[in-house]
Parts: sequence; C-alpha cells; structure tokens
Amino acid sequence: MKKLLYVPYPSVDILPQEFKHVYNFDLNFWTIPSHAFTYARYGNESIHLSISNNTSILPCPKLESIKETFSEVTDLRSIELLTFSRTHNKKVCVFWSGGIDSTVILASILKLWSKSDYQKVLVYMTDNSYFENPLFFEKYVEPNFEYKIINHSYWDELLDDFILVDGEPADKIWQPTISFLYGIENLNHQWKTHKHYVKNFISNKIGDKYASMMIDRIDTNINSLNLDLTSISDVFFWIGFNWHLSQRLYKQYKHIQNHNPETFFKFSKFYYPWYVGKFYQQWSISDNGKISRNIKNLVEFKMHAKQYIYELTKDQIQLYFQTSLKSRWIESPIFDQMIFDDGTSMIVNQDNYLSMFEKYVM
Amino acid sequence: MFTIDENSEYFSWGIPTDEKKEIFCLYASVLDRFIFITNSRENAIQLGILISSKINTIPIRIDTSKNYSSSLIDNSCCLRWTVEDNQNINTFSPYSQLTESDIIHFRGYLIESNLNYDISIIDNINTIRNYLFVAQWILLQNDCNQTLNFKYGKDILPCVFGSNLEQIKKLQKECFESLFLCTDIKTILPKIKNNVQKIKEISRYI
Repeated sequence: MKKLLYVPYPSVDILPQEFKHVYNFDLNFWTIPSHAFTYARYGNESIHLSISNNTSILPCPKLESIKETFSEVTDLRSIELLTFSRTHNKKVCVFWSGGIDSTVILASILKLWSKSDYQKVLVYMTDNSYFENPLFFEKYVEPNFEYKIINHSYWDELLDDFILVDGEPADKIWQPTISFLYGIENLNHQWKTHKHYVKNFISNKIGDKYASMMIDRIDTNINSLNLDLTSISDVFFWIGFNWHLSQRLYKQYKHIQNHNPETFFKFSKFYYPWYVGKFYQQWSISDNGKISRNIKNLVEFKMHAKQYIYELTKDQIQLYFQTSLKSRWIESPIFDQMIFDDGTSMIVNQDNYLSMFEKYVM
Repeated sequence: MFTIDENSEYFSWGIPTDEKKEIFCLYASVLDRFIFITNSRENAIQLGILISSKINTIPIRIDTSKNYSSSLIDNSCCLRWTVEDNQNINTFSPYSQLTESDIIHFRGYLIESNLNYDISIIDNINTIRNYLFVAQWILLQNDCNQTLNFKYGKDILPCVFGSNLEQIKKLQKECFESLFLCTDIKTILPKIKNNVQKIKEISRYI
C-alpha cells in the first residue's frame, strides 16, 4: 500500500466557497500526514529536497530579490549550461515540447552559443512538439540542431552521455496570482489582518489543530524571508512556488526506469531543469517577477518569456498568441498533486483520479 | 497592411442561408473570443488545423446554444463574442489527435466579450483571420467544383481520375502547407491564386 508523503497544495482548499465548484473532490482526503511538510523549503536557509536516503537533489537558493530582467537571467542560465557542459565534457539533450518554456532554452542557445557548440545539442521531441510550434521547428530547430522524435519518455539511455535539460518548473515561476483566476475581491485582503479568515476556512475541512499548524507554518515561512507578500493572493503564489516547485523537481525521477543508487546519482548530477537556476527563483520573487504574474488576460501570461523568443523570431503572432495545445487553463487552471512514498504522484481535483485513488490506494 | 473586409473576394459571412444548418466557430482560449465562423464541420476542423501553427483554437458548434440566431453572429462581428462560461469548454489533445466527439456542442449562452486588447493585438488577430479567410476561400473554391464522387471517391479509389487527381491533390497541399508555415500572407497569395486557378482548369476535365 502506498503511503502518502506530501500534500503540496493544501492552499487551494482555502478558496472562497463560491469558487469551490472547481474543486469538487472529497474533502475528507485532506488529512495532514505527519510528513506533510517534509519537503517544503523552509525559512531562508537552503533546505535540501531529500528522499529516503537523504541524498540531496536540488537545493533551494537563498531567496532575495534581484534587479536582473528575465532576459538577463536567461542569458546567465544559458552560459552556465555551456560552462557545465564543457566542464563535464557532456553533450546537452534538450527536451523540447514546442511550448514557450522549452523554446526559451533553444532560443537562448541560438542567441549565445557558437555554431560549433550547437553540435553538442540534441533536441528530444515528439510529433506533438512539431504541432505545438511548427514555425520554430522549421526555421530554427531543423537547420541548427540534431533532433530525435521519440515516442517514450524514459531517460536512462541518455544518462551516460548527456546533460538532460527540460523546461521544469517554469509554471511555478510564472504562476499568476489566484486573484486573476478567481476574481480579486476575496483574495485581495491583507494576509496579516485576514489570515484568520483563511484559518477558519481550513478548519471547517480539516479541524482546528491541523489548520492552526498549517497557518503557523505558512506564517513562519513568510516572516523568515522578508518577502513582500502582503495579500492572501500573494501568499497563495508563495505556497505554490515554494512547495510545489520542490514537488515538481522530484517528479522527474519517474522518467528513469532502473531506479538504483547509480542512476539516482547521475540523475541528481546531470538533470538540469532550466528554471531551477537560482536567479530565476530570485527573479520570480522580485518586482519584475511580481509584475509578470499580475496579468489581466492570457495573452500576457509568460510574456517575458515570449518576448525573449520574439527577440530571435520577430514573430508577433507567436508573441501574443502562443499557448500550449494541451493547455489546462480552460478546464482546470490549477491542479493539485499528492506524492507517495514510491515517488508516484497524482492529480486530485478530477473525479476519475479520485476514484482510482480510492480503489487502488486507500 | 493587408486586410480582408466584407468586399473582399476572400470574405465569407460564415452563416448559411439554410437555418437548419450547423454553425461552428473557432474559439481562441488565449483571447476568450470566437475568431471565425463557418457552417461546415469539416471546414472547422480543417481551418483549426491550418491555423494551429499560429494560434490554438477549439471548434465549437454554436447553433445549439440558448440564444443563437443567424442574425446574432457572423464573421463580421464574431470577434466581439464569446461563451458565457468557458469553464465548461473542455480542452482536447492536439489537432493531430482530434476526434468528432471532441467537438463541443455549446448549450449555454453566447455573450459579448468584455476583454479589451491593445491595437497591436487586434492587428495580429486580424492577420490571423486573414489566413482563415483565405484558407476558407480555398476550401470553398474546391468544394464548389467537386462532385461527391470526386470528394469522397478519391480517398478510397485511388485509380479514379488518375494523374489529374494527383495533380490537384499536390496543388491543394502546396496551398495548405504554405498557409500553415507562412509568416506573411501577402507573399503566398499569388501562388495560392495560381494554384486554385490551375485546380479549376484541371477539374473541368474530370
């Protein structure tokens, strides 16, 4: 039987009642196991994400606001990857979905690396990557990079020769305030003065004891960071960023078939999620990052990243309208996941997942 | 700037003269608006595929909505319209995996969109609509000249019409590929018109 380790999104349950129809799952699942916050990145120190053998995967950087723009941060990350590749004499495999986040990676390589360094790059993609962004493929991927169209997602064969680069966990640095998704009135209250409202709401679902614990944890975490997180909406962003980011990184280990200490070591050393670069996380909590999240419509979503791509392509249509073909935005703007002790996770705000959960897990 | 208005040969209203016919729109989730109307299910799918290189759209049948009437919405004004509750519009896999059952029959209310966009965004929406009008025009040109035998027999009876059919298919494919991968419609319009003219000429002998 699987053991529930981590509930990364207790926060969604705090939504005002009028928005609850989005999350029609059985609230009885929202129990708080003793390990609930094991992986939360806590305070302003770098708490390492760890699994059972205490091996570090990805440390959290010291969180302080920076002045660099998204473009500058991306350039830094690109040079960092090139240096890392040279230091370890490894090629670079970019998992390109065709979406905005992974296209930024290729755009930065095209912008900053020399043509001879392009030969170090292998683009892993699927048929859907092409349909997601055919213009970029035709004009930039095919002429410049070796590419391989794959129909599986196991990474074992790549571990020896490549640094594995993907667009994780971009959604966490872009996560718009929930106020945009659900209406600003109810979530625009000050956290300091209205956190009791949130606590009362959670208490109805999980009881006073765990609600108090959760609020205390959130409060301590925020206070320790000296971050400008003033509204309840800001706090939602932070919860998603701080906790869910860790969960997303751990998730990728599922792409390794042969789970053993050796593959785990290679994975932890050479899996290179692009948006984990510490400057990205610091950018996300800076003024620039906050502005990027205060969007009025979906055209503005990830605009800084789209502008970075636009510097290369000069394609205004993509600048304004590029979205994911498999976008969850319409049906399910935010989804919640649980992590189990075998590393698997599940989305919990959909009925079919819940019934599977009941049948096979609980 | 190249524009297609109601007087252009490429323009189509998108609504049928026959009230009983189905009406489909392409709904752009990124804009929360309808960007194009057509009265053919096949065309809605084909147009959605063709424009997917530029914007992601969802085909929605709207004559099933609570307040649809043919005087309410057409291609001259559909940009102002959206669905009342987009939470009920399920997204689907990429167009390469689209099935008939993915097409939504919208049962709610059509409403006027309250989102406002900058002029540069509106310009680019119009550019996208230009592609759709031209693509629709190509489809309609071919459709007018096709007998049912020509339209459906070609796929299951490859020997029918011989080399003429192959030539037509090649000319059509060139048009659609150029629309799919084009970034400036003006540069491909002469070739498209030329191909459509050739198709018409070849079709006369079928």
